Amino acid sequence: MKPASVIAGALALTSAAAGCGSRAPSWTLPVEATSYPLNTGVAIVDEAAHRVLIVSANADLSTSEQSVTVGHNVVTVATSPDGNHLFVMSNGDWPPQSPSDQPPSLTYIDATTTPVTVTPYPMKQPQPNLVLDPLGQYAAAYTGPGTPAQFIDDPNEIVIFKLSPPATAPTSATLSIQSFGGTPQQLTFTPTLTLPDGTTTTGMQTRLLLVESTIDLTILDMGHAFDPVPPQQITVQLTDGTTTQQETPAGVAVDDGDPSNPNDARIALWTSTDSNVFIFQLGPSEPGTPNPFTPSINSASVGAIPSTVAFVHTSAQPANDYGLQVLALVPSQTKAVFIDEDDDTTEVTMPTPYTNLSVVTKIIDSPASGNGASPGGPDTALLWAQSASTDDGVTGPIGMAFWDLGEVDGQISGVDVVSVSQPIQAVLDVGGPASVNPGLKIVQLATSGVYVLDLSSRMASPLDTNGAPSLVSSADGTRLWAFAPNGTDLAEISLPIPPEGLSALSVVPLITPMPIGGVYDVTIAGMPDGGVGKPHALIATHPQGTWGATVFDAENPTTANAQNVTALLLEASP
Amino acid sequence: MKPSPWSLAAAFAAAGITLSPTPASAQAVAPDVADVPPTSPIDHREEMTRLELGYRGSFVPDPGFDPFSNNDFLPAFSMAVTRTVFAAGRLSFAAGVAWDNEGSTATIRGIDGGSLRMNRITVPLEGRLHFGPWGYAFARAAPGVAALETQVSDASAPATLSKTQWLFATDLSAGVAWLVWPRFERYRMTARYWLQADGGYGFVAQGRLNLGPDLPSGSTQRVDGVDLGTISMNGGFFRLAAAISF
Repeated sequence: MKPASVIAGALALTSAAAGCGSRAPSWTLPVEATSYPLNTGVAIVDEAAHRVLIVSANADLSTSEQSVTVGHNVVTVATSPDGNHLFVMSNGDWPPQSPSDQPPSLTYIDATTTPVTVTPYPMKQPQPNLVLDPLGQYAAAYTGPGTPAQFIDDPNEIVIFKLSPPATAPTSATLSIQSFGGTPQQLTFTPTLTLPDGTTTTGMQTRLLLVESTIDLTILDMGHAFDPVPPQQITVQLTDGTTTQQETPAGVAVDDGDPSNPNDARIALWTSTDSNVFIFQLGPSEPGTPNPFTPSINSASVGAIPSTVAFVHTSAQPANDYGLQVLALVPSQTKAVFIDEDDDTTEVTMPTPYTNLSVVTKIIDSPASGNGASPGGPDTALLWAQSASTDDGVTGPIGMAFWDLGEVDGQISGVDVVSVSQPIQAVLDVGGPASVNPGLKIVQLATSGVYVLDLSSRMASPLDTNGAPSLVSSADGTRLWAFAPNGTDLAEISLPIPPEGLSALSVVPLITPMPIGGVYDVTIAGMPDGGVGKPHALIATHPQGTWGATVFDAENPTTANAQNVTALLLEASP
Repeated sequence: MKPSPWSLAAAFAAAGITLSPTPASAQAVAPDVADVPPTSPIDHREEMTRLELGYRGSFVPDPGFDPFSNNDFLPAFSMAVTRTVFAAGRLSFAAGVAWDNEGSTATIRGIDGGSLRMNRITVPLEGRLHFGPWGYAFARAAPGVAALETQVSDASAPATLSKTQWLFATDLSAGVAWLVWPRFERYRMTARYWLQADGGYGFVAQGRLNLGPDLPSGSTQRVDGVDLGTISMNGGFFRLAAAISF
């Protein structure tokens, strides 16, 4: 063999070897990430990499990362109300074009374990909307309003996931909601209700899934939703069937009534297209009916479209379940309307067109508040409003007030206005156990400023801010964090712990080296509960580049001791 | 300042021109049969000092290299100086020193820039089998060290993230060197020009890619770096070089 041939052969081989290299695709993916809170860390959904990166804080303020694979084409991400679980719903590779294409799925991540536990729930078709059970037992996926996600969609198909108690295999049920022409618009899991069981006088404890469509309400008994043959669905039409009128559900309120009476659970439903409030009472069924309970529907006109509806107690007397009534706020007519059990209405003219209400009786009357517990009623409601317009075109004053509900006689009484004179953007709850801060609300003003509202003393303490900050309450209820979105300013607001008053509020200004995307008050990994709760850290994320974060000691935050972590999405590269 | 490959190549060419005493036309009329040693019996096609300048291409399949390369290919400027230390018949043995300056850059996730530079300094130990005027084939073992510099520029970091580490390295390769000119007059002490190619496998000890921020001195910022795992720069390579010998 000639030397020239040897050279040519060697070059060909080595060149071929050099040319056949490849780079892992993960290094070329774009960064499309969003972050979500968990009690134990921050979940960064790295959409392009089909994963969730869970960033937790260590005792030395460094971070640890865990990568969890999720389905392709994430459509919905949500954290459970208790902050312990993350839900990631994906469309998959839809429509499937090859056997390797992924089906739609829900990935359920339990962040209470180390490492986190991941449960995938496959679905038959993509569902863009997800509703979570406030009690953490269930979740449901549905199509909902909007453009179909595919060429042909079955909008009446919903998927219910059973999350608790944990099963040996993921449990889900795909149901087709019986339709009279409407499509599911909004789903709500009720609290536990005492309902007729068809056999005993004490009834049964069960939970319901309320499916509001454009023309009706369907009620599913969650106690039997996963049966091989689910019981017949209960559907109640909102219209008399003589028109094609469609409704846009706005919300539902549920009350179990007297817990010892299985026949008085009630559901109030209101829409954004109708001045009627629909009230369903769940009573016993006729013998031989598939379901042991059946709803009876009534409606009451409140004069205009209500902004919110709630069940309230208006009497201190146990009789008639402490005067249980439906209260609807009608800001366009600057009034509130009570609907009693006979569906009779009583209007009360309000001093201000309040749009929102929150029943705060249990908070005010909790033992920690020092006000003494009240067994039943009457209730106290916290009212507040952003700028609201009446039917007369008058923009009403804004603010908030306590309303001590009492006997309803058409005259307003018991309203205690709180001195908040600027437009309110939101009223936020303070987290934590009832023993810590049961009586605080955070009032976020629309332009600038924050009030810390003490429900017990009905006093509001102002905090001036430069611009409208974003606010995050710690899970243990002892701190509030304020930050300027896309800015570097951050502050810790130490909330007073009873018996401290609002004068104990203190502010610690902080600064981060990079603009802040979000802040997350998390427990420190691996640290024991010292009797006053686990120690916490604050993780401020920086969505620049491949994401960084600044980690503070939440109990004693200082800029000097903060730890910066960088390139999070590179560190745990998939 | 580091010498660039082009400046070294230019110096190499200039050296060849300066040291070449015989024009090409003269070499054409000097057949090997008349190549009688006038004073010394040393065959300068076997016993020689050589300077090589060339291009090296390495294929590094390790995933740790991915942040710094789009295709697992690591190009390099390669330089070596060797001296024959033993010769017997058609066999000879040479030793020397070699330097490979290798570098690669890549974009990471469409945002960051990753760059890697490796300076490999080795001691080539080379056995040669000579084929007269055609040149020789050789097998080379080159133990040494490699200085691996890695950098990532990320907008989430207040400074460039980098790390430099020294790692043991060894090349094993085999190839051929073709004597271009002058191919005859073996006993004549003159500059000779070669083209050569070799291929083999380069070993580099595994390194850790825990990059830290290049903060200014005196900075009180507490900044964590990024840990990209490990990197192993092992891989096959080829090298094309031009050489001049004396």
